[in-house]
Amino acid sequence: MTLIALSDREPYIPAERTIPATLKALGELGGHTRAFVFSCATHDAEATAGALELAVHEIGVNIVRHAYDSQGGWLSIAYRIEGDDLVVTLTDAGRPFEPEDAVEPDPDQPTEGGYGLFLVAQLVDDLTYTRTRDRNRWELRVGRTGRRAAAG
Amino acid sequence: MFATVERSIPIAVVAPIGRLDALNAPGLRARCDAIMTEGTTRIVIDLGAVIFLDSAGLAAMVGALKRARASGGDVKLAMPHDPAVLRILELTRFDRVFDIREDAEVAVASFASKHGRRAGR
Repeated sequence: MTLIALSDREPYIPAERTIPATLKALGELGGHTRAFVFSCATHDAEATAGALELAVHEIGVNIVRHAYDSQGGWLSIAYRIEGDDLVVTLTDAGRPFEPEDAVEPDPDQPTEGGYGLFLVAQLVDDLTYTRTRDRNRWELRVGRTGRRAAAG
Repeated sequence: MFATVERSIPIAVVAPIGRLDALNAPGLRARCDAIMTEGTTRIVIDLGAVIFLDSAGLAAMVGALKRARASGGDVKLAMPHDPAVLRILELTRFDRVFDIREDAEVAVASFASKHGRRAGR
């Protein structure tokens, strides 16, 4: 368990870190993500923290399982505030993302997988994937004052 | 992390506790497989004590559902208490895939009533 002290005044911006690309290692990210949101969000922090925690987790699992085929590797994660947005970036050196990996759930024909990225797209305001040279880069963005999509 | 209650009638209740995610969804899958291997194909997955649900947890539940229905059974869910977990079920439309009841007791009872009403949501 990671205990994180929060200041009443300063946003908590977790330091950029690189972790092994394993499911177990992903567990340490949740506390940092939640603390980041709770120190920065100005509206419905609990819901925003839960959404961003799950979104980061899903991207992490996607990296572990699909970018590296569960064979190990690394991923780095960085947090920042940009205007009214809370931004999380995950980078890895695994194989490129294939769009067909993302499946929209069909209640009439439920499948045993493929919900991860659909879920992320529902949980954040913006999800961006870029492939630069041999790096995958995922950027997740939520509004500091609450998810914009949720307000609509 | 699982509490399982075997009943005299062939219905099993599986109650994951805490996180139902990529790390421990295989445990739920294995538990449901074992129950069905023993001949019980009517299962209630009680989400009342689940505080974090990810896509792997969802996949494990769908896997159990498919195997159960292929054998003439079914998997029903007991409503999560955590609103974030319920929201995940709604976002992925799992509330339309599964028969979700207020709690495990109601879900178990609903197996006996083909015309039982689903939880009003």
